[in-house]
Amino acid sequence: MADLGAACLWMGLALAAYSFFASAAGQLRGAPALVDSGRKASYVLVVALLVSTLSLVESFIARDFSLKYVAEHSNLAMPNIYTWVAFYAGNEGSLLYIAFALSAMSALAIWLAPASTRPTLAWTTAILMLIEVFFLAVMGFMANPFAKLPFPVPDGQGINPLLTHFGMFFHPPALMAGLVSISIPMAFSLGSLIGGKGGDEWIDAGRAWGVGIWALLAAGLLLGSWWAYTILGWGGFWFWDPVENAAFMPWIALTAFVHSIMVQKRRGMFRMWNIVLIDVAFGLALYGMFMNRGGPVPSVHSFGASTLGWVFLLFLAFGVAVPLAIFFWRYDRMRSAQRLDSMLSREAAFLVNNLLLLGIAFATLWGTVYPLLSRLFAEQEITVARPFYDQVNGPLMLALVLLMGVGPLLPWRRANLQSLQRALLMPGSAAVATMLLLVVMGIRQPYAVIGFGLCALVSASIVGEWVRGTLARRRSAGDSPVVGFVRLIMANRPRYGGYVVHLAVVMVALGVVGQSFYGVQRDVALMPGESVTVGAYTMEYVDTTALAFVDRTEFRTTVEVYRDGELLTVMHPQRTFHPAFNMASTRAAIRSTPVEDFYVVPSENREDGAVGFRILVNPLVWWMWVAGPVMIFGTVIALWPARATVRRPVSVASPAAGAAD
Amino acid sequence: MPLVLAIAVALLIVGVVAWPLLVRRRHPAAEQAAHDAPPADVGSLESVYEAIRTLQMEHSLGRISDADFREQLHEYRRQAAVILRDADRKAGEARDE
Amino acid sequence: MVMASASSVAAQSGGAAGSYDEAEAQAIDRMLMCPVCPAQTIDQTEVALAKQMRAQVRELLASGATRDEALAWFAAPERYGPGVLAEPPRSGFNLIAWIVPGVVVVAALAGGLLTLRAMRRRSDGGDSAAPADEINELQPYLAAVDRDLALDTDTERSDG
Repeated sequence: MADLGAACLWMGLALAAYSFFASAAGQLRGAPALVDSGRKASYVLVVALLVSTLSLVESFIARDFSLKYVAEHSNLAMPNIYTWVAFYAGNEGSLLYIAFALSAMSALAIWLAPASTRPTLAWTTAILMLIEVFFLAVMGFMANPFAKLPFPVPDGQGINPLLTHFGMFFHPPALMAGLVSISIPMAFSLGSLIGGKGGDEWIDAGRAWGVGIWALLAAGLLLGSWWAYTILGWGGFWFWDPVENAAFMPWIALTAFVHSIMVQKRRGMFRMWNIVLIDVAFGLALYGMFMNRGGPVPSVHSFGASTLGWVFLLFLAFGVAVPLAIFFWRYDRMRSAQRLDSMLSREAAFLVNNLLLLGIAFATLWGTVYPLLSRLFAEQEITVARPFYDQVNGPLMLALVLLMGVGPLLPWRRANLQSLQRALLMPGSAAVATMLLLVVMGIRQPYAVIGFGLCALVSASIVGEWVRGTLARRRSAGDSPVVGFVRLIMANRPRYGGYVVHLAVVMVALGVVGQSFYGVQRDVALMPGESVTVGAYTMEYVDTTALAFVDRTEFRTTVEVYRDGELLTVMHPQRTFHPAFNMASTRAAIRSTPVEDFYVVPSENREDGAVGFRILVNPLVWWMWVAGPVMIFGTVIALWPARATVRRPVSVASPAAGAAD
Repeated sequence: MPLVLAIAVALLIVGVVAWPLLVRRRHPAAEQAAHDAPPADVGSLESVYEAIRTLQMEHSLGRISDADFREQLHEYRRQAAVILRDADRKAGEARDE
Repeated sequence: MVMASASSVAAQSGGAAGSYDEAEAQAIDRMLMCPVCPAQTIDQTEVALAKQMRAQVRELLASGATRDEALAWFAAPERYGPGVLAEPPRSGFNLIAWIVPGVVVVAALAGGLLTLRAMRRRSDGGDSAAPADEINELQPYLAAVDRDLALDTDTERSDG
């Protein structure tokens, strides 16, 4: 079956190349049949790559160790369920996954393209297919997942033990698919520019895909944090690893984009700015893929170190230069239609939000490239890691949360200063009250006090908006509170869906601030029967059973956790040694409550029977994981299509026109 | 077996891709219509109505002063009316041809 | 239950005599890179060298070193060099690392707000009153708009 997969890969490359040429040539020469054929080629590309993907899956399940990729990333002992993970455990499979995901989403985007984008859809298709050609050519010529070993081996090397975790079933595919599909909104904007439109034609498609991809990346990042929290065994969830940053930066740029696109949608402003933003997000996504596939910076994510680096670097340069060139070529066609009414308006707030977000993206990028600069110009080996990003991005993020509390209270066009002050009264007092309460309770860390105060500000301003809106509906339409609330949200989905997402962001902020400033850590070695007290908890180490498997030894530990002298829970953290990889993987045991997590992970098993434990009490981390579903829910509301309430203009006006005659 | 499947996929691909080139379009007009830019959402009647609804909501929340509200409402109503008139004129021209 | 005393904890994690602030030691752990691991600080890994360095941090603190002194000890050229620090030093050439992000953000905000002001000034001009005959011509369409918007709220009310 591997031969079938390889054949389909080559057919896919031919198809993508054909689709590119047919779409571009058809558009240039005004040949609709050719354009149509190019578009259909992009649809059948999905079929070819699906067959290719399935045949690699089949090779994994059959443990076909004549394939180099299968032999390197699986073995006979691996349960079949991990085929899903093994598939993208290395470069070759990841590339196949990325190519397939991009083809499927591109086909969907082209198929569902709104009418306003249709005149330039051929250009959009051509751009997406050019990106496909790149991935398929890299696979075909440099990293073929169907490459064979000179002779089959009896058993494979097995899967990287760090990957055998539930979080890994979704985190890498969500991030890879999310990063690559930033191409889609970019292709809509660029296609529209090449076709000489450069106005508002692309923004509905751009916004829908932008918001969807934003949520996909956010979910991927959250799941990655959850994976790190439960498996990396040091008790945190985010440490500004170069590859984390690589996925974080495009997501931040996309966050700016999904806000600023609303200004164009509602007011016809920021046309050029939106194109710049989506190109920046695309460039950062390419940078992220470059870092992940053989970048120069060491990272825990360097699973597939390889020689692909320079190809991706070239692709990155190309992907930044071409949109830039087209942007300047079409510069004069993008003048914004509307003018700004007031500096105190939602439009202006969105711009400040954009600049702060880009500031975070820039500071993060600066941190990842600074070691290179320092090596070149000062001949010094300098590291830029966690403390730098915390200190530089922390204040910017606090400023963003502040803006999240004030921005929603500003109307479009021109705010009335007095009514703004009135609107801020309630959220502002909630924030001040929260901060005072915290200080009285003994919380003195300025960052934490301000952070929690701002969380209160945002929550109060959102809830206040909902209450006022519902009351206003009751006054105007006589709706009951529940009906009024639902109708309020349905009447302006992008806005109120966005508020739900904002609440999810507040939840994440709670977890981050709580863990960063009030997490308690204790490293201790215990003999069976010994116990240790951390915060309000006392943990007794009961025993460890060692279970030997063919490829690993599992040390299953039992601990009892007491609070106030009462047995709270019995927990089973685990540590597994994998001789083939000469590494240990851990699985933390976590008792999670909305107030705090009790987290324990065994860090070593000593000869004398003692076990080293890392124990943490992490406040409010629970809220981070709950934020995920809330955020998805908010995104669904924001993207839910509005029902067309307006009749066709002509039929509306006809009787009136008759009367005017 | 893989060979048969590979040939099947190849035939499917060639068939789907070649079809539009071989079959003459029965509706060239429809194809042409797709090339005439339909109005973008921004600046359409629907988006102006949306702006008016948002304006009414923001006014009812007391975020916009009465003077601003009247001025902006007037402006949006005029925009909507111009869109309706233009659509009407276009329809009239189409009838006359 | 046998309580593991604080001193035995200290003994297991470093064997240092004297007392030190464990929270301070953990803070320092988070500011030192593990030289043999990819992009991890010494609190994040159980590699032998990282354990040794953690013990060293506690030893230094117990012998009365401050945070800065402990960090400088590790960053000395004859030991691990400045690359062991998780953030660039705030002196000399490396000040650039700290200053540039702040300067860029402030410049971007200033530039953005100036652009907005320019957009605002441009808009002060236009918007002259429409000629009277256009207003007359638009009248029936304005009525249609008002009907439409009223009609719209009506449908919303009836289908709930």
